[in-house]
Amino acid sequence: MNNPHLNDGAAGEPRMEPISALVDGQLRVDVFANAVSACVEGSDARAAWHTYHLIGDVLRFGESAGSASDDGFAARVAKRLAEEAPAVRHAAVEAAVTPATENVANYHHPASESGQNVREEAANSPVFRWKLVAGLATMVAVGAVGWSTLGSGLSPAGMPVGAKPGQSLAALDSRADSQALKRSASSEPAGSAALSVQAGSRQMIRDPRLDELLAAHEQAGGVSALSMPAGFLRNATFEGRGR
Amino acid sequence: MARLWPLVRVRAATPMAHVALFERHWRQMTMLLMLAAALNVAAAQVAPALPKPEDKAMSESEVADWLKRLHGASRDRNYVGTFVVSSASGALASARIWHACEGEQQVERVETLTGAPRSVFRHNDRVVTFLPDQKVARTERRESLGAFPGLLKSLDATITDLYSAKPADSGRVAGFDAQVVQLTPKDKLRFGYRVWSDRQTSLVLKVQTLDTDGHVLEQAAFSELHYDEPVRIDQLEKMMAATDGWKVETPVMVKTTAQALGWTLSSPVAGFNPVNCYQRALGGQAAADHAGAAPDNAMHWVFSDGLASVSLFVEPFDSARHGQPGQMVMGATHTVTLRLSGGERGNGEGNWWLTAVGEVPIATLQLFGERLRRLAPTK
Repeated sequence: MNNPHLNDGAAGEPRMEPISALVDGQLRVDVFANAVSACVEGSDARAAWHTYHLIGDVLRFGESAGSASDDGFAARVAKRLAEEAPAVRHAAVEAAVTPATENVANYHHPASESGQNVREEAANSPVFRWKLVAGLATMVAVGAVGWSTLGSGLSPAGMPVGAKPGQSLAALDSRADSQALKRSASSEPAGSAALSVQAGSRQMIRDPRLDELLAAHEQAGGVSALSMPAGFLRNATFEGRGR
Repeated sequence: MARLWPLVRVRAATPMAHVALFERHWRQMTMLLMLAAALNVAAAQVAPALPKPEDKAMSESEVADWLKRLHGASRDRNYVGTFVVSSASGALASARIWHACEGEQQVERVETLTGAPRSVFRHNDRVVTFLPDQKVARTERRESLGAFPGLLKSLDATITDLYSAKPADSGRVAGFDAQVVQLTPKDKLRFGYRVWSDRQTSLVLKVQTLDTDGHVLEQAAFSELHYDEPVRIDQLEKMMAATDGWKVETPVMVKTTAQALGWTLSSPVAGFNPVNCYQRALGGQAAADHAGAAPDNAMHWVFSDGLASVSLFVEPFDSARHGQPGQMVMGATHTVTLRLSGGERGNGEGNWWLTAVGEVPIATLQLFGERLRRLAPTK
């Protein structure tokens, strides 16, 4: 190490003050640069740097946050990367070469099209075509489930438990029925059932005589297999007449 | 193709790696989804998801058994509930129902919850209707209600001739599992029905009336039902008899035949058999109010096809009251009024006014109007 600042003082013992100041973040400009280069070049300075960090962690948190300095770790990683990179690049180059020589028309390597700078795609980067296929498969699955449900038919459902009389017809009926009711409602005026219906130019006037006749129909005209009890209850409940 | 099982063995070290893992295994996910879709489709082909209703119609004896069960149900047990009638036009009416039975005695009380207050009591075939707004109590005897067991036998055959009865998908009404039977008319002269009956007790829980296009015209159903409630017959009968202070009205009617009154149909309307005919005195109330005014006499001729009934009211034409012909729809009940044509037949039919009422399409009522004929006087 030829760093004059660090070699001052006792022989063979580098000065620790710049390292301490570096850890505390007090150095500026070229002094900072020198201290950093000392850490990079000298293992002693680097060890001191780690020690100071350890001391600081213990003082602040009461325990050490990270592992001890391991010079070997960084070196090992760097070595592995160096070993790996040429192998990956070799494979990419071969892949780039193969389509050119064998002329496989539908083989597509994204890196090969970019030319010389062959960079392999990261293994976990998304491939769009599979996203597309997966989305399509989801739609097919949903469609198949929905189709089989529709195919087996919608059953006309009964009334919901505890339906209150004030609820609208749509709530009481199954969906298919309520849609059917809405369609037929368009052919009748909305609102009270006791309205007259205009058919062409005809309009029926509600008068007491008509009410009497309707009551008579209810009384004597209920000859039906369904009149007991449903028909009777329906006539007794349905306020179609305003008497 | 990558192996399927790495999907479970790969561990993600960082949050971003989860996403990466998912994206990397699109192929496996795709395969799984396609497999699921294929299995589902195959399953749907092999076995239907829901049990399908039978496709063939019920036979006459099956219909007869079913109707007998429906009638037996209300004769066997007490119940209390809320009944709701709703029509396609959006009108809604509801009432509270009490039903009690003891041997052959059947008593019912209906209190309307919507519209003008009304209490209807029924003891077998006798019906009393209290109208608090006018302080009027109407008492009447309804033959159709009392005559049932015998009447039913004659109706079974007619019903199977005119309607095709098929079981439909079951449902729930008022919390009870119900069996559904769909009655589809074989011609356009009548409406269809869907009947829900309690699977256990066979009580009719819901009836839908369907028009000729299959749309629901009207629905009458229990929204709430409780079996075996302690309803006392004697209490209901006491309420029914409490007509003191009320103006008691009884319809004046005489049972007769259409022929005796001078009417017939040129040809019967398919499926509708004449059931009863009465001569009624109408406008009795008005007669009492305006002393000296006589009530009008009208013929009331009743037809039925087993499920639907039609009433033809024929009264003398009165230009003061009877104007343009008209039509009216109230839920499933349709009404047609017209002046009987027949001037060209020269037997004075044009002097009569017809009001046809029934739970049938308007076209059917108009057909009755076209076929009604005045009999030539025999004397």
